[in-house]
Amino acid sequence: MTLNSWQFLVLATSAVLVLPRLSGWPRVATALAVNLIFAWSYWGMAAMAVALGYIAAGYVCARVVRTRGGAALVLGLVALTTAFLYLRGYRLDGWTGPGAAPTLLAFTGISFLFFKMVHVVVDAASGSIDRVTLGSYLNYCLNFTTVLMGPIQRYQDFVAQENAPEAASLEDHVDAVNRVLRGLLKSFVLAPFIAPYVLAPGRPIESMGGGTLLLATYGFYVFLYLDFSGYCDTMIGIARLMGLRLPENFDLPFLSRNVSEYWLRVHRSLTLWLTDYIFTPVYLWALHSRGLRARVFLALAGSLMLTMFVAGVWHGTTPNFAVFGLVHGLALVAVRGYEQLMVRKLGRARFREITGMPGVRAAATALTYNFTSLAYTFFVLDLGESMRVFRRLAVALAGAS
Amino acid sequence: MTVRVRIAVKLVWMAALVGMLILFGQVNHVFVYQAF
Repeated sequence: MTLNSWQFLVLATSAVLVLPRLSGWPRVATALAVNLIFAWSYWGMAAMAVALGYIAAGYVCARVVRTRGGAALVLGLVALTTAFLYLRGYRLDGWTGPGAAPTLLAFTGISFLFFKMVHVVVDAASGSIDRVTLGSYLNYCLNFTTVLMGPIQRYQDFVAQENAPEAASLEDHVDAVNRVLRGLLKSFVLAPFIAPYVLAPGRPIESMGGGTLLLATYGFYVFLYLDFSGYCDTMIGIARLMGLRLPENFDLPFLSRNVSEYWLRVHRSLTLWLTDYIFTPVYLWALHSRGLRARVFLALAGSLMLTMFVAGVWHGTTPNFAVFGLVHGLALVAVRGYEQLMVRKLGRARFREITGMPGVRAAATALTYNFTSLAYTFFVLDLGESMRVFRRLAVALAGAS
Repeated sequence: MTVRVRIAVKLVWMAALVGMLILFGQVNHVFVYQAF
């Protein structure tokens, strides 16, 4: 059931017309029926059974950790993570061989589901989530506006909105429909229009001109933005029509002036998840550890690198995704180091004044765009092809100079 | 600009978007993030 099909139009329209008029268990049951139909259309029966089993395991963990404490939390997280790694198809031999393929049991959206379930289990253990009810939990995990590719909403927000959907004016509805259409235009008209020209596996890299290859690399970033932000616009608009307010995922990423800002403008809901559940706990642990207590920058750098490694391998099972994350981790460490150095040398006020100058802003934006575009090479190509791209670009650059 | 005028402008834009989708949006497209 693709988003530009009449089946999806019928399903989404039915949900938008019916759900806001319901409350209590009829709303929960109807939403669940809609969500299951959508999930089944992508997963089929076998993967659906696996997905529901995995979701049920998350529910059991969330209930158990509330009463059993720390040991149960660790056991639950280890079990959910192990199951995720197996289902998603991570294999150590895939890192040295031709590349790991997802298992037959993998299903679309499993990575997003994993992060959502970890959030529920951790927050249930900490008491941030008061109560996990089966109906709301299933609808949270399977919500058809987030199940495929996010945005990664928080359980507390979802439940609050499900129980008391936001009222919307006529203009809000018009805005939401326009956002749905704008998203579909990005995903199904603009992204496919530029797709033939952007970096993709199997391109004849060595026979491409340096300029063409660089444009293809720049183009992939634009393509991914149109593809993913278009999907997010569509789903956020539909959710709005149902009274739900999903978190925003994009905020003009091409204007980012450093990599740190880039991660707050691209896939923001993932960045916030990583901050809350990887970076902050690891950084706090490092600051309290005996070895790193006196080395604050080392603690920060290590925490950033680990967080971005997780971000990388979360995206895919092959080594190129790990490199994608680590390259971004190094860039984040460099940004933090540079900021600290400049603040120490110039003072905070002077540094802020310099970075606010139009020329400096433009140069920083161009540098960030170039770095993030080139880093996407590791996102779209395997390591071998990525290195061929960089070699070809280096040769073209040497020839031009 | 009154609310009615704003809504009218947005409806015209909406019609244009629908037109573009009907004309150019009937394509097979698999989202990149669907792999995750």
